[in-house]
This record gives sequence, C-alpha cells and structure tokens, in this order.
Amino acid sequence: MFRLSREKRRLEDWASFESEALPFHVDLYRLAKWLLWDQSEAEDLVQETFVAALKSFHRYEKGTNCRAWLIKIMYRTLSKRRRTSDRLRVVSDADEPIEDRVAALPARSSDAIAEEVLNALKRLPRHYQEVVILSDVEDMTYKEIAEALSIPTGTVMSRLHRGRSLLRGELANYARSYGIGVVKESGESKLRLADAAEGGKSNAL
Amino acid sequence: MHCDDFRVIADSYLSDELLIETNHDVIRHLDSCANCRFELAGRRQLRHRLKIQFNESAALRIREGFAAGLKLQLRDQALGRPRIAIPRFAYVGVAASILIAVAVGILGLQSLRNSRRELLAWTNLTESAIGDHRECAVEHRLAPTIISLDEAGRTYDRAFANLASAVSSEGVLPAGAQLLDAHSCMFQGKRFAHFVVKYHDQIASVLVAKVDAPNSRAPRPEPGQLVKGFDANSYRIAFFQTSKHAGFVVSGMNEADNLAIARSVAPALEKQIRRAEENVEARAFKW
Repeated sequence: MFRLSREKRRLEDWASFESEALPFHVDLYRLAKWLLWDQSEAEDLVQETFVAALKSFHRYEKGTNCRAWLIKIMYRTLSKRRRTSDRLRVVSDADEPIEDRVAALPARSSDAIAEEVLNALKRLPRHYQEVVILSDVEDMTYKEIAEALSIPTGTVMSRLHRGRSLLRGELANYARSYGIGVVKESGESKLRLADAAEGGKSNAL
Repeated sequence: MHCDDFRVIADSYLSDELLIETNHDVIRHLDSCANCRFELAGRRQLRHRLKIQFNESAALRIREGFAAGLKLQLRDQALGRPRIAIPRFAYVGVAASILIAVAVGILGLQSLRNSRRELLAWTNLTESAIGDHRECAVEHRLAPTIISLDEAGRTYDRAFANLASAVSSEGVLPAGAQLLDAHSCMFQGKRFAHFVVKYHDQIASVLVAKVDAPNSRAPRPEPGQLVKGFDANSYRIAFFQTSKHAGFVVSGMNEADNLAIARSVAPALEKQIRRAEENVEARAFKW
C-alpha cells in the first residue's frame, strides 16, 4: 500500500514537472547555446539544469514564472561549472564606459542591418548581452534577472540601459529606420551622444 | 515630463517596470509628443526583432532527438527506475520475437558454436547477448538489476552514461525505427546497456557490454568494423567493438533489417563509448 502511494506520488510529480517545466527546454537550450556556443556543452548544461530542477521541483511555487526559475537554476549550474573549469571564459564584471565600447558606425542598408541584430548583440560585452536577452527575449522582470544572475536590481537596470544603448549604437542605421534617436541627431556621433546623455541618468531608473 | 526624461525610462515603460504614477506621466507625455511616440514604437520594434531573430536563429536551434533523450533520462530519474510506456502488445512482441535464448535453447547455441566458433571464441559475450533478455524487457521490470543507463553509467560503467542520448539522436536509427526502451540490465552476471527498437513492426535489441578479457586466439574486428550477422534459429546477430566494449544487435528480423539497424546505431554508439573510454583513460593517466 505504502509502495503504491509512493509510486503514485512519483507519477504525479513527474506529470507536474513534465507539464510545467519540460516545455521550456527549447528556451533553455537557446539561451545555453548563446552563452556557450557549443552544442554538446549547451546540451550538458540544459541536462544538468533539468536534473537539478527535478530534484528541487518541490521548492517551485506553482503559478510563478517557471521559465525564470529554470533560468535561475541554469545560471547557478553554469556558475558552478565556471568555478570548476577553465574552459569557460570568466567575464569581467566591471561596467565599462559606453564611449569605449561603441563601435564605429559604418554605413549599412537597413535590410542588411535588420539581419544583424543578433550579430550586433554578440558584439556587446557578455554581461550586457545577458541582461538584454533575459529582459527583451525571455521577458524576465528586473527582479527575476537579478535573482538569476545574483546581482543587485540596480545593476540589472544600469546594465540594461547601457546594453540597449550599445545595441542601438551597433544598429544605428536600423535604429534610425525605426525612428530611434532621431530627436538628438545633430552630429556624426548622434547616437553615442544620446546614449551618453541617457547614461548619466541611468541610476535614476 | 520632457522628452529627455522619457528617453531615460522608455525601456522600463516597455518592460512594465514603472510605478503606476510614472506610467500615467509617460502616457500623458506620449499623448502630446509625436517624436517620443515614434521613438517608443522604434524601441518596441527593435525588441520584437531581437526576440524573433533569437528564437528563430538556426545557430541556436535545438538538435532533434535531444529533447527525447532528455525526457527519457528525467522520467527515469523521476520515477526512480526505467519506465517506458510501451503498450502491452509491444511487450508481447518483445517476448515473442526478440530475446531468444533459453527458448532457443541448447540446440540454438550449439548451432551458433558450429557456425561461428571463432566469434564465440573471441568472447562469451555473444551468448549473453542472445540470452534471455526477455526477463528484463518484460517480466521483471522491477528487478533491482534493471536501472537507468545514467545510473549504470555512474555506478558500473561510464560508457553507459550518455548512450540513451546517442541512440535517440536524430538520424541514428534507420528511418521508421522507434526506440521503445533504454535501460541497463544484468544477464549471466554481465551488465548490459539494452535498447529495444521497433522496426518494420518487429523488435530488435541493441546491447552493449564491457569486454573483460578478450580471447587472444580469436580474430578481433578492426575498430569501426561491423561484423556481419549470423543466424541462430532464425535470429540474426551483428556486432561491433571498441577497445573495451562490444555491441550486439539481436533480432528475429530478416538479415537486411537487422544489419540496417546495426549499421545505423553502431557509429553513434561507438563514438560515444570511445569518448567515455578515452575519458576514463585520461583520468587514470592524470592520477
């Protein structure tokens, strides 16, 4: 009898995990692949993440953002792996001045740049990429991002601000085609000037 | 609110991260400022484009077969044992057609010995491979000797650890073949990785086991070489080897189908096993 009830509970737990957590494996894989750029490393990371999530699924609060919970576990798993492996590059945590990072703005057509949003994102420092993806692609809140990356919410906000500014700088033509930064355009470094002006207020967000 | 102020908080507005009062200020400003409406639409569009490109990027696309392997592994772990939802009739199929042995009996084994003495001399694994795996596949699913491949990988043989993913990967099995079950079982004191595959409505077993002491008298196939199957009372067997493992495909299928499975799975299994063997050797070397 006891064995049957335990078996039943296991089945119910699995059914719950299968319906709530497992559907996000594609999202997690994409993010893992973006972070590692290696298929087998990304698969390993996703596998470890889901194994860890399964073990601690009793701690997941139903009705909350399961994807954010999984991503948080994935970052912890990744962090653990980074500590034990020198295969992965440790990214400097220092926020660098935008002016030092904004690339020159070559003349490109809107269409060409439209295909390069991801390439532009890839050119940003890693810590800016992460917050932009977690916010704008994964739709995580500032608080969820802060928890996932184990950084203060204020840092999330400032990184997001700088990251988006850099991205717009990288995609200047594309951004202009959608009207971003048109008001401040008055010189050759229009977007950079606009970003610099915004940067001073980023902490007030 | 001024345009400069709006630009600072425009992204937070899009992310719905502002206080209600600030939201109202933003909305009021947008009502009266066409430039900022244009700017906001642009930022929204940029985000939308980023999300679409990220989600549709071919470089970030998940490998087909990975999800199935992951699910298999997690389900094994969640249920504490390998449990695959094979319909009852499939078990009957397994019992009826696949795993030979005791039913085949001494006569069958004798004919094997007669026809492929050199192979049997190489290793007695062949006998185990065509042995009564029916027990593990059908009747004794709760037996403690049956465990998941990952558990077997952790406990007995590292080479078993990622075999399920290897076999369930896209393109590993022949078109139309279906992986019904993957587990690790014991037979005649030997631990096997055991995959049950359905192909053309028949069942085949793919088995992998460690070679303890290969018989030096027997001809050993070259690495990567697949030894063509032979018959044992209408059952077909094909096998391949790595330095420390041997793999078998056993079925009641015709020779072409049995070989098709063997040719499909052998490279993937061999690659995975070799990698594990090399890792073990590398660790041993380090120590």
